[in-house]
Amino acid sequence: MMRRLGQNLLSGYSLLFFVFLYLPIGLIFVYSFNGNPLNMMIWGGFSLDWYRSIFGMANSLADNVQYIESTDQLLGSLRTSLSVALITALISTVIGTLTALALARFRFRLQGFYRMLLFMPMMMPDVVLGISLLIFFVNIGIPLGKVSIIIGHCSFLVSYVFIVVSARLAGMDTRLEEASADLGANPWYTFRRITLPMILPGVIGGALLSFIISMDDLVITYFISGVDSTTLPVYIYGMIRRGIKPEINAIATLLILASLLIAAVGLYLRNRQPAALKAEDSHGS
Amino acid sequence: MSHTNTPVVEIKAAVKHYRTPEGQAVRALDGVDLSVGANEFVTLLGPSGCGKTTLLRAISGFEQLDSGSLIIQGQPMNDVPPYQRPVNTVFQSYALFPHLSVGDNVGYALEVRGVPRKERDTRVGEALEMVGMGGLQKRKPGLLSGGQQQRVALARAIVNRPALLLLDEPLSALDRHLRQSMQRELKKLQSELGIAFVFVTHDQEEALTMSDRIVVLNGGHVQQIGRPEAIYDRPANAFVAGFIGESNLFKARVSVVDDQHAELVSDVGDTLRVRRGELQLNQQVQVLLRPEQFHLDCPGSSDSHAWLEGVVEQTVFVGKDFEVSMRTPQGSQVKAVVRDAARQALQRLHAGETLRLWYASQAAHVLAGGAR
Repeated sequence: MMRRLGQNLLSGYSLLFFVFLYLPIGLIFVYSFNGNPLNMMIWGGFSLDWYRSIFGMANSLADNVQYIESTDQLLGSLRTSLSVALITALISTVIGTLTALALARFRFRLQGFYRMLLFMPMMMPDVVLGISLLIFFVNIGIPLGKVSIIIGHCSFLVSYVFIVVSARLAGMDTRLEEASADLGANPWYTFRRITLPMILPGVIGGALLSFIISMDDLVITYFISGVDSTTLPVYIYGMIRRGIKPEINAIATLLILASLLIAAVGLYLRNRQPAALKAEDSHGS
Repeated sequence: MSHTNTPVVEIKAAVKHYRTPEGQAVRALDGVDLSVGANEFVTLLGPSGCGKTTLLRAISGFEQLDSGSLIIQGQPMNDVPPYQRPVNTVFQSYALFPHLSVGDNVGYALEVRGVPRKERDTRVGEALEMVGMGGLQKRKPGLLSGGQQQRVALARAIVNRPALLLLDEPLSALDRHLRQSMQRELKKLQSELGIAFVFVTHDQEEALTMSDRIVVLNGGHVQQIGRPEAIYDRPANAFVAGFIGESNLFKARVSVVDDQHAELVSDVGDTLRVRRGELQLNQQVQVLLRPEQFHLDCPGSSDSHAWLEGVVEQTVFVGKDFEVSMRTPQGSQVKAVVRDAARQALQRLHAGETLRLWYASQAAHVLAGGAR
């Protein structure tokens, strides 16, 4: 009896927990279809107009409403965010992966120190990182804009990629690379044919992670973005003070769907790998 | 004999130091000389940490020698990277590439050298056939048993016909039964292929059954190199005697000599009788008696035989043989193995009985020096 009560309480608690976690996201999804032009928190019937608006199609709802911001500015910030995140993910994945390889495969002086340096940006408060990057850019004369945002994001996302790829490398038997060399493959061939395929899930994971973090970052970007290079999070933050455009719900919904898609692809890639991982384990010793 | 021809590998005065994390230098190889002839099966045998794996990795190129020369097929190899050496290795952990199929694993050495697909497939098929794994090309290594992975690793290492095959304790992960059948197969494969094998193991039985020659290593030094029988019957020192086979070792001083025999007194007072050989009066030596050299009755003339007497402590039947443990009045423990035929004499082997163990005096092997 007591046991059943306990179980019911536990499931009730779990349910509440997930409601708390996901209800706000659900609300955004629902209100992205809200047809009320004046107050986006009051339901005014179903409408796809906000979606039409962000894709630049004419529609009655958005045209009848006057907001301070234009939809073009909103879309422009989304484009900035996407291109910054793409370039950042690319650069930090390459540098992070190469750094992880260097620290895992070679022995050199101050190795532990370098490893610690790589962990530092992750532990540094965003505000500190943001202000120091700002001072740095201003001092050496790099204009604030897309380039400064990309450099800034790379400076800490390299660490994330490094950690993800390092974990993967740590699980890889170094004898595999020796076996490849033993069979006559030069170091570049070994990297292409053995090492890279083995750590690829980690590399892809690191790339997705850095893309999402770059897309999402507000604090650091707030310091180092210029006037005409606003990213989406910075734009939304600014909008809170000036009145929120209902299109934001539609954009948020699309971003959530895109994230889900990326996560699903990531999971699929991870699940395709177990045969290889099992083989690694059963080799033992 | 074939290995007196030009050697496949020649190592001279190889030295390799390691530095422990505490900063102490450890000599993994301390002046090792070794040469391996064509078509020869050489085993590096020793306890863990004796330098055998270091020596193997120096040949394959994964360790650099601090000093000494390494010549493979007449070419100096000290500065040649592993991927340019005509040597292939079967790793202890097999090290199969988990993301490649069995066929691609075995064909890797050919793929690297740009052998066309068609020829590669034929040769991969042949290599897999040789190790009894034909038709499994499409499988992933992760789906194979330990024994099968072992065979694939072997096929991968021989597919390109290296001058020399290195095997790093390849059988240690297999169960006893599988290990014994793999030992026979490896030996057969070696004579079919006609390539030299250098085999590393810490299992003395494995070394004795498979090798043309055994190199016993300890503490970075070669203790003895020789044919298995020679190493077993005439160990060069106390370490080899103790490491290979069961042994009764007596520290003794020569007390009486005549034309043919010498009588010795051990440090605790046992009397032993051996062939005179080069022995001088009062010389300090060690005497080795293998357990199977003992008999319950004198098998020949009492002149050429001697005995040790003591009290039986324990007798264990191990199938075919009885293992007898006896203690002499002087306190030495003597281990003996007596055969089936002695079953009629079983009551003599009961614990507490007084027993006389006979041995042929020329069978006792004398090792120089009393130091151990």
